[in-house]
Amino acid sequence: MRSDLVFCFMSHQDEKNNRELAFIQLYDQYISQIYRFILLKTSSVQDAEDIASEVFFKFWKNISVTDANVKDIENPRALLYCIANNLITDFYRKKNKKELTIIDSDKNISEILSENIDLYKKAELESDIKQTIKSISKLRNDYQNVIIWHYLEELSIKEVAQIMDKSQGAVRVLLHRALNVLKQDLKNESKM
Amino acid sequence: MTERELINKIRELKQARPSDDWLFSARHSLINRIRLSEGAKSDIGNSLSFWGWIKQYQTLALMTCLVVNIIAGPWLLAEASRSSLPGEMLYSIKKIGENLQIKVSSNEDKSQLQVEFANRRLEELNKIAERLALASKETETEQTKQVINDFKNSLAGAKEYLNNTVSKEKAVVVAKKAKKMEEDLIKAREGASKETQADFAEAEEAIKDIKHQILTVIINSTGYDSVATSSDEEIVIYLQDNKNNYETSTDCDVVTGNNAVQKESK
Repeated sequence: MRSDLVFCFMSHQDEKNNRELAFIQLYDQYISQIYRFILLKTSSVQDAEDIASEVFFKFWKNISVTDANVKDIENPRALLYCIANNLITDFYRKKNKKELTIIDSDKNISEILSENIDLYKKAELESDIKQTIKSISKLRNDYQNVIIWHYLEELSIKEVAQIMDKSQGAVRVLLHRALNVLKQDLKNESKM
Repeated sequence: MTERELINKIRELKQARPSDDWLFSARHSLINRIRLSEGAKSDIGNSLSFWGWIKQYQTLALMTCLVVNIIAGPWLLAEASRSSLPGEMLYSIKKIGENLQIKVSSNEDKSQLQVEFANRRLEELNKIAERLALASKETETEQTKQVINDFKNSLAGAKEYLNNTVSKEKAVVVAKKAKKMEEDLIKAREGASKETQADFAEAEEAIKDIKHQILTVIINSTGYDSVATSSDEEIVIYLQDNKNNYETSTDCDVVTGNNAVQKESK
């Protein structure tokens, strides 16, 4: 009986370690994407860092309540974006800010670009990115989300539908409309 | 701008990513935060954990330990004291146990018990005699004195039990042991220091005293004339030799009243 108890303890400990390891692997895989999504929505590096950490901690709490493993979840990425979206909504509610924000200065743009890009390319990107971000930030919330999730983060229509709790057809319609509005805005900006 | 160009513009945003320093520190602090929350969770008392299981049966384990200690404790103590000798810590426990046994036993069993205890006293004496031999080799005067003192106390205890001993056979057995004891004592005295000679003399007197007591028991017992074996007869002779050196009026009267003893004295 003593050996059974030790085995149970060790098995429980191994299971716990496996769960933790799987979660860390998930974190490494998706942290950049979640950070980017939050950054584009909040336009603040500090807030993006805080909220991104909070997203993963909430994810962990959700699975640890039921002692589930990451591998047991069908689409962990969708769940992460769901949590991120909710936290951003809470963030704006607390800060009493408008959902549409713009990254104003060029300094902010250079901060968010990857450190591995050479300076020449960084300079090229800065102006393009700034314009794109400006235009996206003018869109309404659901248009922003579908564009970022489907085109930027390359989630499938099915996954986007799952996150937004809409049908795939509705998501396709949203995407089409969002692209049209964005195209129109970028066109107007380029004329100015 | 075509749709493809627009999508490419959107995908340029992939260049936006967190700094490596923040990635490292955030990962580390998240792991710590998770482990802290897990630690707090297990403190609440998860019944599935190993320590939760232990706590569940804590009361039962405590009661079992108490019962085992209460029941087995005295028994273990008695067993441990069985081989103790005078001067040792557990010897008093041994004597208390023996006294208790005598008190709770019936009158029929009392004499038998006392004989058994008398045998134990002699066993102790043998062990003490062995210690005496070692003590003299180590020339530790104080230790020798202590052992001899214990020896005399044990003899006094044996004498007390022998007063109630009625069996001749038992008395002969006791006498044989006393003979061996005397021989061992003589050997031990040979190698002893001058300071302990007086103590050894006292011990020899104590043996003589007990031998006289044994003889008295044998004389008083029935069927004295018919000693069981020749070795028993030798023991009686050995005791009588001792008796001849033992000058008391009481003993002379006893001897006079016995044919076998009269024959030897002649």
